[in-house]
Amino acid sequence: MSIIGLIAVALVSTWLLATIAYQGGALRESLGRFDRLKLLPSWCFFAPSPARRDSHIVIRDLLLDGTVSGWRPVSSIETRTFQHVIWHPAKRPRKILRDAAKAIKLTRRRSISTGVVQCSLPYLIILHHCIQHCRAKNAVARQFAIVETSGREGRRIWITFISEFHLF
Amino acid sequence: MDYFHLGIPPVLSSLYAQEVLPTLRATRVLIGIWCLISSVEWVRNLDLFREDGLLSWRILSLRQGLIYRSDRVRWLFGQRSIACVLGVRIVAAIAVMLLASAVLQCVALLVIITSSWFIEERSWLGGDGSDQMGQIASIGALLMAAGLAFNQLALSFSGTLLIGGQLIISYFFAGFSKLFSPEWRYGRALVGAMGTHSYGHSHAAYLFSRSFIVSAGLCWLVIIGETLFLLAIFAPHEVFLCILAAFFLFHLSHAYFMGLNTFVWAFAAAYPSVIVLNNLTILYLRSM
Repeated sequence: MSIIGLIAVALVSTWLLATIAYQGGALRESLGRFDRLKLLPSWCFFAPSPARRDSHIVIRDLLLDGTVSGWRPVSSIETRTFQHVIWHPAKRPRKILRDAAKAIKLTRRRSISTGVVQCSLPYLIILHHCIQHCRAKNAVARQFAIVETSGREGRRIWITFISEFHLF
Repeated sequence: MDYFHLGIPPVLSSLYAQEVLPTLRATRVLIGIWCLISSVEWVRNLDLFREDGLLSWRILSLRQGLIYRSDRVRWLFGQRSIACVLGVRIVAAIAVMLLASAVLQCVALLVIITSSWFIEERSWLGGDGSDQMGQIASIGALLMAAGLAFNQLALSFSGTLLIGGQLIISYFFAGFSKLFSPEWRYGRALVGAMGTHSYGHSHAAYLFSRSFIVSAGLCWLVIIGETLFLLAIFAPHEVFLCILAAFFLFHLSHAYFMGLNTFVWAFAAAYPSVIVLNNLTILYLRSM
Protein backbone atom coordinates (compact mmCIF):
# COMPACT_ATOMS: atom_id res chain seq x y z
CA MET A 1 0.00 0.00 0.00
CA SER A 2 1.29 3.43 -0.89
CA ILE A 3 0.52 6.24 1.52
CA ILE A 4 1.65 8.84 -1.06
CA GLY A 5 -0.81 7.46 -3.59
CA LEU A 6 -3.62 7.48 -1.04
CA ILE A 7 -2.92 11.09 -0.09
CA ALA A 8 -2.75 12.09 -3.77
CA VAL A 9 -6.11 10.45 -4.56
CA ALA A 10 -7.68 12.07 -1.48
CA LEU A 11 -6.30 15.51 -2.41
CA VAL A 12 -7.44 15.19 -6.02
CA SER A 13 -10.92 14.12 -4.89
CA THR A 14 -11.10 17.16 -2.59
CA TRP A 15 -9.95 19.37 -5.48
CA LEU A 16 -12.69 17.98 -7.72
CA LEU A 17 -15.34 18.55 -5.03
CA ALA A 18 -14.06 22.10 -4.43
CA THR A 19 -14.24 22.72 -8.21
CA ILE A 20 -17.90 21.68 -8.21
CA ALA A 21 -18.63 23.98 -5.25
CA TYR A 22 -16.74 26.82 -6.95
CA GLN A 23 -18.97 26.85 -10.03
CA GLY A 24 -21.67 28.85 -8.29
CA GLY A 25 -23.61 29.38 -5.11
CA ALA A 26 -22.67 30.54 -1.65
CA LEU A 27 -19.29 28.81 -1.44
CA ARG A 28 -17.76 30.45 -4.52
CA GLU A 29 -16.58 33.62 -2.80
CA SER A 30 -15.13 31.89 0.26
CA LEU A 31 -13.35 29.27 -1.81
CA GLY A 32 -11.97 31.96 -4.12
CA ARG A 33 -10.47 33.76 -1.13
CA PHE A 34 -8.39 30.70 -0.19
CA ASP A 35 -7.38 29.85 -3.76
CA ARG A 36 -4.05 31.70 -3.81
CA LEU A 37 -2.60 29.40 -6.48
CA LYS A 38 -5.61 29.83 -8.79
CA LEU A 39 -6.29 26.09 -8.78
CA LEU A 40 -10.07 26.39 -8.97
CA PRO A 41 -11.27 26.85 -12.54
CA SER A 42 -14.48 28.50 -13.63
CA TRP A 43 -16.13 26.34 -16.26
CA CYS A 44 -19.22 28.36 -17.19
CA PHE A 45 -18.07 29.23 -20.73
CA PHE A 46 -20.19 31.88 -22.44
CA ALA A 47 -22.94 31.33 -19.87
CA PRO A 48 -25.27 32.50 -18.52
CA SER A 49 -24.58 35.63 -20.61
CA PRO A 50 -22.90 34.87 -23.93
CA ALA A 51 -20.71 37.55 -25.52
CA ARG A 52 -23.10 39.58 -27.67
CA ARG A 53 -21.15 42.82 -27.95
CA ASP A 54 -17.68 43.94 -28.99
CA SER A 55 -15.84 46.30 -26.65
CA HIS A 56 -13.89 49.22 -28.09
CA ILE A 57 -11.83 51.91 -26.38
CA VAL A 58 -11.95 55.39 -27.89
CA ILE A 59 -10.06 58.52 -26.79
CA ARG A 60 -10.22 62.27 -27.30
CA ASP A 61 -7.98 65.14 -26.20
CA LEU A 62 -8.64 68.46 -24.54
CA LEU A 63 -6.63 71.06 -26.41
CA LEU A 64 -4.87 74.15 -25.07
CA ASP A 65 -7.49 76.48 -26.53
CA GLY A 66 -10.29 74.71 -24.62
CA THR A 67 -11.68 72.77 -27.57
CA VAL A 68 -11.74 68.97 -27.76
CA SER A 69 -10.55 66.73 -30.57
CA GLY A 70 -12.75 64.08 -32.18
CA TRP A 71 -13.03 60.57 -30.73
CA ARG A 72 -10.59 58.04 -32.17
CA PRO A 73 -10.20 54.33 -31.50
CA VAL A 74 -7.19 52.86 -29.70
CA SER A 75 -8.19 49.24 -30.10
CA SER A 76 -9.03 47.28 -33.20
CA ILE A 77 -10.50 43.85 -33.89
CA GLU A 78 -9.03 41.86 -36.75
CA THR A 79 -11.16 39.99 -39.29
CA ARG A 80 -11.42 36.26 -38.65
CA THR A 81 -9.17 34.21 -40.92
CA PHE A 82 -8.49 30.49 -41.36
CA GLN A 83 -5.07 31.01 -39.77
CA HIS A 84 -6.78 31.63 -36.41
CA VAL A 85 -7.43 27.88 -36.08
CA ILE A 86 -3.71 27.49 -35.30
CA TRP A 87 -2.29 30.92 -34.58
CA HIS A 88 -4.19 33.79 -32.99
CA PRO A 89 -1.99 36.00 -30.79
CA ALA A 90 -4.27 39.03 -31.19
CA LYS A 91 -6.86 37.42 -28.95
CA ARG A 92 -4.78 38.21 -25.82
CA PRO A 93 -4.70 42.03 -25.93
CA ARG A 94 -8.33 42.02 -27.07
CA LYS A 95 -9.33 39.82 -24.11
CA ILE A 96 -7.33 41.99 -21.66
CA LEU A 97 -9.14 45.13 -22.81
CA ARG A 98 -12.45 43.30 -22.76
CA ASP A 99 -11.88 42.01 -19.20
CA ALA A 100 -10.79 45.46 -18.02
CA ALA A 101 -13.81 47.15 -19.64
CA LYS A 102 -16.13 44.58 -18.07
CA ALA A 103 -14.54 45.11 -14.64
CA ILE A 104 -14.98 48.90 -14.93
CA LYS A 105 -18.67 48.46 -15.75
CA LEU A 106 -19.12 46.11 -12.78
CA THR A 107 -17.25 48.40 -10.39
CA ARG A 108 -19.32 51.39 -11.48
CA ARG A 109 -22.54 49.45 -10.99
CA ARG A 110 -21.53 48.37 -7.49
CA SER A 111 -19.99 51.62 -6.21
CA ILE A 112 -21.71 54.79 -5.12
CA SER A 113 -19.01 57.26 -6.17
CA THR A 114 -17.05 57.63 -9.40
CA GLY A 115 -13.88 57.96 -7.29
CA VAL A 116 -14.03 54.24 -6.57
CA VAL A 117 -13.99 53.47 -10.30
CA GLN A 118 -11.09 55.85 -10.91
CA CYS A 119 -9.00 54.14 -8.23
CA SER A 120 -9.71 50.67 -9.59
CA LEU A 121 -6.94 48.77 -11.30
CA PRO A 122 -8.84 48.07 -14.57
CA TYR A 123 -9.49 51.82 -14.90
CA LEU A 124 -5.79 52.58 -14.39
CA ILE A 125 -4.80 49.88 -16.90
CA ILE A 126 -7.00 51.36 -19.63
CA LEU A 127 -6.02 54.94 -18.74
CA HIS A 128 -2.31 54.06 -18.84
CA HIS A 129 -2.84 52.35 -22.20
CA CYS A 130 -4.72 55.37 -23.61
CA ILE A 131 -2.21 57.92 -22.32
CA GLN A 132 0.59 56.16 -24.27
CA HIS A 133 -1.04 56.88 -27.63
CA CYS A 134 0.38 59.76 -29.64
CA ARG A 135 -1.01 63.23 -29.00
CA ALA A 136 -1.03 66.63 -30.62
CA LYS A 137 1.42 69.25 -29.30
CA ASN A 138 -1.37 71.41 -27.95
CA ALA A 139 -3.19 68.56 -26.15
CA VAL A 140 -3.34 69.00 -22.38
CA ALA A 141 -5.61 66.22 -21.17
CA ARG A 142 -7.13 62.98 -22.38
CA GLN A 143 -10.44 61.25 -21.87
CA PHE A 144 -11.40 57.69 -22.80
CA ALA A 145 -14.70 55.96 -23.36
CA ILE A 146 -15.79 52.35 -23.55
CA VAL A 147 -18.03 51.77 -26.53
CA GLU A 148 -19.85 48.54 -27.24
CA THR A 149 -21.21 47.43 -30.56
CA SER A 150 -23.29 44.48 -31.64
CA GLY A 151 -24.17 42.91 -34.96
CA ARG A 152 -22.53 43.08 -38.34
CA GLU A 153 -25.29 44.49 -40.50
CA GLY A 154 -27.14 47.40 -38.93
CA ARG A 155 -24.60 47.74 -36.13
CA ARG A 156 -25.90 49.05 -32.79
CA ILE A 157 -23.71 51.18 -30.54
CA TRP A 158 -23.74 51.74 -26.75
CA ILE A 159 -21.50 54.16 -24.89
CA THR A 160 -21.11 52.35 -21.60
CA PHE A 161 -18.51 54.46 -19.82
CA ILE A 162 -16.86 57.87 -20.19
CA SER A 163 -13.88 58.79 -18.04
CA GLU A 164 -12.90 62.19 -16.67
CA PHE A 165 -10.22 64.20 -18.52
CA HIS A 166 -6.76 63.31 -17.22
CA LEU A 167 -3.83 65.71 -17.57
CA PHE A 168 -0.81 64.46 -19.49
CA MET B 1 -5.45 -0.20 -5.89
CA ASP B 2 -8.15 -1.48 -3.58
CA TYR B 3 -6.72 0.32 -0.57
CA PHE B 4 -10.05 0.81 1.11
CA HIS B 5 -11.15 -2.77 0.44
CA LEU B 6 -14.12 -1.59 -1.59
CA GLY B 7 -14.13 -4.70 -3.70
CA ILE B 8 -12.35 -3.12 -6.69
CA PRO B 9 -11.31 -6.08 -8.86
CA PRO B 10 -7.54 -6.56 -9.36
CA VAL B 11 -8.20 -6.56 -13.09
CA LEU B 12 -8.79 -2.80 -12.86
CA SER B 13 -5.34 -2.25 -11.39
CA SER B 14 -3.71 -4.34 -14.07
CA LEU B 15 -5.69 -2.58 -16.81
CA TYR B 16 -4.67 0.82 -15.47
CA ALA B 17 -1.05 -0.29 -15.18
CA GLN B 18 -1.13 -1.17 -18.89
CA GLU B 19 -2.81 2.07 -19.93
CA VAL B 20 -0.93 4.65 -17.87
CA LEU B 21 2.13 4.82 -20.15
CA PRO B 22 0.30 5.37 -23.49
CA THR B 23 -2.12 7.75 -21.73
CA LEU B 24 0.73 9.85 -20.38
CA ARG B 25 2.47 9.83 -23.77
CA ALA B 26 -0.61 11.17 -25.58
CA THR B 27 -1.30 13.71 -22.81
CA ARG B 28 2.30 14.96 -22.91
CA VAL B 29 2.25 15.52 -26.66
CA LEU B 30 -1.03 17.45 -26.50
CA ILE B 31 0.13 19.53 -23.51
CA GLY B 32 3.36 20.26 -25.40
CA ILE B 33 1.43 21.55 -28.44
CA TRP B 34 -0.87 23.67 -26.26
CA CYS B 35 2.06 25.09 -24.30
CA LEU B 36 4.11 25.79 -27.41
CA ILE B 37 1.32 27.70 -29.18
CA SER B 38 0.36 29.58 -26.02
CA SER B 39 3.98 30.54 -25.26
CA VAL B 40 4.82 31.67 -28.80
CA GLU B 41 1.62 33.75 -28.83
CA TRP B 42 2.75 35.41 -25.58
CA VAL B 43 6.18 36.07 -27.16
CA ARG B 44 4.37 37.77 -30.04
CA ASN B 45 2.61 39.93 -27.42
CA LEU B 46 5.73 40.68 -25.37
CA ASP B 47 5.23 44.42 -25.91
CA LEU B 48 2.25 44.22 -23.57
CA PHE B 49 4.70 43.82 -20.66
CA ARG B 50 6.73 46.94 -21.48
CA GLU B 51 6.65 49.90 -19.09
CA ASP B 52 4.31 51.65 -21.52
CA GLY B 53 2.40 48.47 -22.41
CA LEU B 54 -1.10 47.36 -21.54
CA LEU B 55 0.24 45.07 -18.78
CA SER B 56 2.84 47.49 -17.47
CA TRP B 57 4.16 46.44 -14.06
CA ARG B 58 3.97 50.10 -12.97
CA ILE B 59 0.20 49.69 -12.94
CA LEU B 60 -0.21 46.00 -12.14
CA SER B 61 2.09 46.24 -9.12
CA LEU B 62 -0.58 48.41 -7.49
CA ARG B 63 -2.60 45.28 -6.80
CA GLN B 64 -3.56 44.65 -3.21
CA GLY B 65 -0.79 42.77 -1.43
CA LEU B 66 1.85 43.68 -4.02
CA ILE B 67 2.17 47.41 -3.38
CA TYR B 68 4.81 47.21 -0.64
CA ARG B 69 6.76 44.42 -2.30
CA SER B 70 6.73 45.90 -5.75
CA ASP B 71 10.21 47.47 -5.66
CA ARG B 72 11.87 44.27 -4.48
CA VAL B 73 10.29 42.13 -7.19
CA ARG B 74 10.20 44.69 -10.02
CA TRP B 75 13.09 43.01 -11.87
CA LEU B 76 11.22 39.72 -11.82
CA PHE B 77 8.15 41.09 -13.56
CA GLY B 78 9.85 43.18 -16.26
CA GLN B 79 9.70 42.46 -19.97
CA ARG B 80 13.15 40.82 -20.02
CA SER B 81 12.33 38.36 -17.22
CA ILE B 82 9.08 37.44 -18.92
CA ALA B 83 10.94 36.83 -22.19
CA CYS B 84 13.30 34.47 -20.28
CA VAL B 85 10.37 32.67 -18.62
CA LEU B 86 8.67 32.24 -22.00
CA GLY B 87 11.93 30.97 -23.52
CA VAL B 88 12.26 28.35 -20.77
CA ARG B 89 8.56 27.47 -21.19
CA ILE B 90 9.06 26.86 -24.92
CA VAL B 91 12.03 24.57 -24.20
CA ALA B 92 9.94 22.72 -21.58
CA ALA B 93 7.05 22.34 -24.07
CA ILE B 94 9.37 20.74 -26.62
CA ALA B 95 11.07 18.62 -23.95
CA VAL B 96 7.80 17.30 -22.55
CA MET B 97 6.88 15.99 -26.00
CA LEU B 98 10.25 14.36 -26.72
CA LEU B 99 11.77 13.15 -23.44
CA ALA B 100 11.46 9.48 -22.58
CA SER B 101 12.65 9.59 -18.97
CA ALA B 102 9.80 9.98 -16.45
CA VAL B 103 11.99 12.03 -14.10
CA LEU B 104 12.90 14.52 -16.86
CA GLN B 105 9.24 14.66 -17.90
CA CYS B 106 8.42 15.64 -14.31
CA VAL B 107 10.98 18.45 -14.46
CA ALA B 108 9.60 19.73 -17.80
CA LEU B 109 6.01 19.56 -16.54
CA LEU B 110 7.00 21.36 -13.34
CA VAL B 111 8.51 24.16 -15.44
CA ILE B 112 5.30 24.40 -17.52
CA ILE B 113 3.12 24.52 -14.37
CA THR B 114 5.27 27.13 -12.62
CA SER B 115 5.63 29.34 -15.69
CA SER B 116 1.87 29.14 -16.45
CA TRP B 117 1.10 30.22 -12.90
CA PHE B 118 3.70 33.02 -13.12
CA ILE B 119 2.28 34.36 -16.39
CA GLU B 120 -1.27 34.24 -15.04
CA GLU B 121 -0.22 36.02 -11.86
CA ARG B 122 1.76 38.62 -13.82
CA SER B 123 -0.84 39.34 -16.49
CA TRP B 124 -3.86 39.29 -14.11
CA LEU B 125 -6.28 39.88 -17.00
CA GLY B 126 -6.79 38.09 -20.30
CA GLY B 127 -6.68 34.48 -19.11
CA ASP B 128 -9.14 32.00 -20.57
CA GLY B 129 -10.47 28.46 -20.15
CA SER B 130 -7.67 26.94 -22.20
CA ASP B 131 -5.13 28.28 -19.68
CA GLN B 132 -7.12 26.66 -16.87
CA MET B 133 -7.48 23.29 -18.61
CA GLY B 134 -3.86 23.34 -19.82
CA GLN B 135 -2.65 23.96 -16.27
CA ILE B 136 -4.84 21.17 -14.84
CA ALA B 137 -3.73 18.74 -17.56
CA SER B 138 -0.10 19.61 -16.78
CA ILE B 139 -0.57 18.99 -13.04
CA GLY B 140 -2.35 15.71 -13.79
CA ALA B 141 0.40 14.65 -16.19
CA LEU B 142 2.99 15.53 -13.52
CA LEU B 143 1.23 13.20 -11.05
CA MET B 144 1.13 10.45 -13.70
CA ALA B 145 4.81 10.88 -14.57
CA ALA B 146 5.78 11.00 -10.88
CA GLY B 147 3.81 7.81 -10.30
CA LEU B 148 5.77 6.12 -13.07
CA ALA B 149 9.09 7.52 -11.88
CA PHE B 150 8.56 6.31 -8.30
CA ASN B 151 6.59 3.19 -9.21
CA GLN B 152 3.44 4.39 -7.43
CA LEU B 153 0.41 3.33 -9.44
CA ALA B 154 -2.07 5.14 -7.18
CA LEU B 155 -0.16 8.41 -7.65
CA SER B 156 -0.44 7.99 -11.42
CA PHE B 157 -4.14 7.22 -11.03
CA SER B 158 -4.69 10.45 -9.08
CA GLY B 159 -3.38 12.35 -12.15
CA THR B 160 -5.77 10.52 -14.47
CA LEU B 161 -8.63 11.12 -12.04
CA LEU B 162 -7.80 14.82 -11.84
CA ILE B 163 -7.69 15.41 -15.59
CA GLY B 164 -10.67 13.20 -16.47
CA GLY B 165 -12.71 14.47 -13.53
CA GLN B 166 -12.09 18.13 -14.41
CA LEU B 167 -13.04 17.51 -18.04
CA ILE B 168 -16.36 15.94 -17.01
CA ILE B 169 -17.05 18.77 -14.55
CA SER B 170 -16.11 21.40 -17.15
CA TYR B 171 -18.47 20.08 -19.83
CA PHE B 172 -21.27 19.49 -17.35
CA PHE B 173 -21.19 23.00 -15.84
CA ALA B 174 -20.68 24.63 -19.25
CA GLY B 175 -23.94 23.00 -20.37
CA PHE B 176 -25.81 23.26 -17.08
CA SER B 177 -25.18 27.02 -16.72
CA LYS B 178 -26.46 27.58 -20.26
CA LEU B 179 -29.69 25.86 -19.28
CA PHE B 180 -30.48 28.77 -16.94
CA SER B 181 -29.86 31.40 -19.61
CA PRO B 182 -32.83 32.61 -21.68
CA GLU B 183 -30.34 33.63 -24.39
CA TRP B 184 -29.33 30.01 -24.83
CA ARG B 185 -32.75 28.46 -24.29
CA TYR B 186 -34.42 30.68 -26.88
CA GLY B 187 -31.64 30.21 -29.40
CA ARG B 188 -30.38 33.80 -29.40
CA ALA B 189 -26.92 33.13 -27.91
CA LEU B 190 -25.23 31.95 -31.10
CA VAL B 191 -26.77 34.72 -33.21
CA GLY B 192 -25.40 37.27 -30.73
CA ALA B 193 -21.95 35.71 -30.32
CA MET B 194 -21.42 35.11 -34.05
CA GLY B 195 -22.51 38.70 -34.70
CA THR B 196 -19.54 40.05 -32.73
CA HIS B 197 -16.18 40.63 -34.35
CA SER B 198 -14.32 39.37 -31.26
CA TYR B 199 -15.88 35.91 -31.08
CA GLY B 200 -17.88 35.68 -34.28
CA HIS B 201 -17.66 34.81 -37.92
CA SER B 202 -19.37 36.55 -40.81
CA HIS B 203 -20.69 33.37 -42.53
CA ALA B 204 -21.97 31.86 -39.27
CA ALA B 205 -23.57 35.17 -38.30
CA TYR B 206 -25.32 35.30 -41.69
CA LEU B 207 -26.59 31.72 -41.36
CA PHE B 208 -27.79 31.99 -37.76
CA SER B 209 -29.48 35.35 -38.23
CA ARG B 210 -31.53 33.97 -41.13
CA SER B 211 -32.53 30.60 -39.74
CA PHE B 212 -34.00 30.43 -36.25
CA ILE B 213 -34.26 26.65 -36.51
CA VAL B 214 -30.51 26.25 -37.12
CA SER B 215 -29.63 28.73 -34.38
CA ALA B 216 -32.02 27.32 -31.75
CA GLY B 217 -31.18 23.73 -32.75
CA LEU B 218 -27.46 24.33 -32.30
CA CYS B 219 -27.97 26.12 -28.97
CA TRP B 220 -29.90 23.12 -27.64
CA LEU B 221 -27.38 20.69 -29.13
CA VAL B 222 -24.63 22.46 -27.17
CA ILE B 223 -26.70 22.55 -23.95
CA ILE B 224 -27.74 18.88 -24.14
CA GLY B 225 -24.38 17.63 -25.40
CA GLU B 226 -22.36 19.36 -22.69
CA THR B 227 -24.76 18.56 -19.83
CA LEU B 228 -25.08 14.89 -20.71
CA PHE B 229 -21.35 14.32 -21.25
CA LEU B 230 -21.35 13.18 -17.64
CA LEU B 231 -23.35 10.10 -18.63
CA ALA B 232 -21.11 9.31 -21.59
CA ILE B 233 -18.53 7.91 -19.17
CA PHE B 234 -20.83 4.86 -18.83
CA ALA B 235 -21.12 4.39 -22.60
CA PRO B 236 -19.46 1.46 -24.41
CA HIS B 237 -15.88 2.21 -25.41
CA GLU B 238 -16.54 2.66 -29.17
CA VAL B 239 -19.53 4.92 -28.53
CA PHE B 240 -17.47 6.98 -26.09
CA LEU B 241 -14.70 7.45 -28.67
CA CYS B 242 -17.30 8.73 -31.17
CA ILE B 243 -18.63 11.17 -28.55
CA LEU B 244 -15.11 12.43 -27.86
CA ALA B 245 -14.48 12.83 -31.60
CA ALA B 246 -17.65 14.94 -31.79
CA PHE B 247 -16.41 17.12 -28.91
CA PHE B 248 -13.02 17.49 -30.59
CA LEU B 249 -14.81 18.74 -33.73
CA PHE B 250 -16.83 21.06 -31.48
CA HIS B 251 -13.57 22.62 -30.21
CA LEU B 252 -12.18 22.79 -33.76
CA SER B 253 -15.30 24.69 -34.83
CA HIS B 254 -14.67 27.11 -31.91
CA ALA B 255 -11.14 27.63 -33.20
CA TYR B 256 -12.39 28.34 -36.73
CA PHE B 257 -15.47 30.42 -35.96
CA MET B 258 -14.49 32.04 -32.64
CA GLY B 259 -10.70 32.16 -32.83
CA LEU B 260 -10.30 30.05 -29.66
CA ASN B 261 -7.36 28.06 -31.03
CA THR B 262 -5.67 26.99 -27.80
CA PHE B 263 -8.84 25.38 -26.41
CA VAL B 264 -8.50 22.57 -28.98
CA TRP B 265 -5.17 21.35 -27.60
CA ALA B 266 -5.81 22.07 -23.91
CA PHE B 267 -9.08 20.13 -23.89
CA ALA B 268 -7.77 17.38 -26.17
CA ALA B 269 -4.98 16.87 -23.60
CA ALA B 270 -7.67 15.71 -21.16
CA TYR B 271 -9.15 13.13 -23.57
CA PRO B 272 -6.63 10.29 -23.00
CA SER B 273 -7.38 10.38 -19.25
CA VAL B 274 -11.13 10.39 -19.70
CA ILE B 275 -10.81 7.46 -22.11
CA VAL B 276 -9.03 5.53 -19.35
CA LEU B 277 -11.76 6.46 -16.85
CA ASN B 278 -14.35 5.19 -19.34
CA ASN B 279 -12.46 1.90 -19.75
CA LEU B 280 -12.18 1.45 -15.98
CA THR B 281 -15.87 2.29 -15.44
CA ILE B 282 -17.02 -0.19 -18.09
CA LEU B 283 -14.75 -2.90 -16.73
CA TYR B 284 -15.91 -2.24 -13.17
CA LEU B 285 -19.59 -2.38 -14.19
CA ARG B 286 -19.01 -5.65 -16.03
CA SER B 287 -17.26 -7.17 -13.04
CA MET B 288 -20.09 -6.36 -10.65
